Amino acid sequence: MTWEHHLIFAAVAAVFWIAGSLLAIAKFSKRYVWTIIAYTTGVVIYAAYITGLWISLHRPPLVTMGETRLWYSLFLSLAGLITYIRWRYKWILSLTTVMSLVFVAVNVLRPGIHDRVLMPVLQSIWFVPHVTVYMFSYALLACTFLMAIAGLLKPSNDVLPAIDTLCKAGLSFFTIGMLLGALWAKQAWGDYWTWDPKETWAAITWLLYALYFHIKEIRPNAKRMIFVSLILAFISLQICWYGLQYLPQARGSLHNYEIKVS
Amino acid sequence: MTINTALFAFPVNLIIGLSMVLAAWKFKCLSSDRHMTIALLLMIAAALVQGFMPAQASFTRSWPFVIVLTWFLTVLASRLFRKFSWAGLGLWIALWSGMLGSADATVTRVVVPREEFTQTLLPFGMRMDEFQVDRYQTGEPMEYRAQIILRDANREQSKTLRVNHPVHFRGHQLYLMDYDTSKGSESDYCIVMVTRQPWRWLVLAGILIMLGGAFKTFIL
Repeated sequence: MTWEHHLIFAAVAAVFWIAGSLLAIAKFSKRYVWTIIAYTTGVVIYAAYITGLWISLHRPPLVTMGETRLWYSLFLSLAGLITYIRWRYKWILSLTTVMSLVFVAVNVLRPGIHDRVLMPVLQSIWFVPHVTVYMFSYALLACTFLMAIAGLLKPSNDVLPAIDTLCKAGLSFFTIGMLLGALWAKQAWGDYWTWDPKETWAAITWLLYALYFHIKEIRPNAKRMIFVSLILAFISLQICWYGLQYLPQARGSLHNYEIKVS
Repeated sequence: MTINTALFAFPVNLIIGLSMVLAAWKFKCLSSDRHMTIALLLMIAAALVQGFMPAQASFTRSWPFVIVLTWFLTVLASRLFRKFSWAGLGLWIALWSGMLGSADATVTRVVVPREEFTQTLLPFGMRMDEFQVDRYQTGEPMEYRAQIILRDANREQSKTLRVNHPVHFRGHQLYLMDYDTSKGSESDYCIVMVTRQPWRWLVLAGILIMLGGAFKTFIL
């Protein structure tokens, strides 16, 4: 399976995701079960594509930005599904579907360069857990971002309990990803933490989520402030993930693994 | 603005570190919500400055940053005394020992030639015995491998250095960093980074405690 198959798998998965989102807001008695079946099918199809790509590349597809976007779309739809099953917000699947498809579309338009090469520094047992744990946390935190927007636009939505649970799980995974990275950095680069631009922005993101938890604890009724802190943290997360490429000082980042076309 | 870390070499760093704990214990008011909010905002501001600065400016080694971090850690310690959490303790230990330990840490980049042993301030000499680059069919490097002879007063021993596989020798850690890329496997030298971090076990302990704490938060 190669990148040429991405479009067809993504299209089929998208049909199921959209069907699931529509079923969730439709009005009929068994919509809950059918929504889950449809949405799960979409997730499984997309996961099958990533698995196939992994096998055919002979290395984990986690190296380039394009490859991390694949995981993001997968985990985001999975996080939406979990949120739907657990809290039954009927609008959450539409949001996660749109966001997943945005990243699918970016990958269709700009797949980047993908071959079997895995440079020596990435050949480590830490590689797969470090990146997948991060991508999963990004997806959970994206869910909290979507819910914060929903909460800001329609104050009648009671999203705070769900945000709290998702954010706890999301930040736990984020922390685990960061600490696995620290242990790996000691092995590969000689120190646990070197304030590499990616690390710095991960720290900023972490601190902003800590600020959210702090505000939530000391000002539980300041909903707008809580939502805004989540949105700021999410923006910082986007800089950490791909926005860094556009910051001039981050060119020399140790985390730059895109294969240069010369 | 960069701090001369030699001023804080052991035992000065330990004394400062213990004073932080003592202040956190003594001044209970430091654990208030207001102090935590201010410390957190200061820390975010300091990290943002680093985030928008060129990496080589090393703002994180300057006075303003270290003062903010010290303050943040003191407030955090005070809060931990009042309300304990494993993740918080792990974070605190890792940051505290990382900050203080950097005064005792050394990093040396050594060019290790084929013909002779290196003469440095390190308590041992190094000589490169063999160097090899394995490549993919596309020509991209797959693995670098350097056979290094290490010699100190008593003995000589041969070790293999690879990326992601540092060698530990007499309290130092050795990392393969670079070689003569124009010559590939025929390279006449390799560049080895030698680090010494006496406090690294404390940082590691902090990281592991925080990992446990993060797992616990997620599971419960």
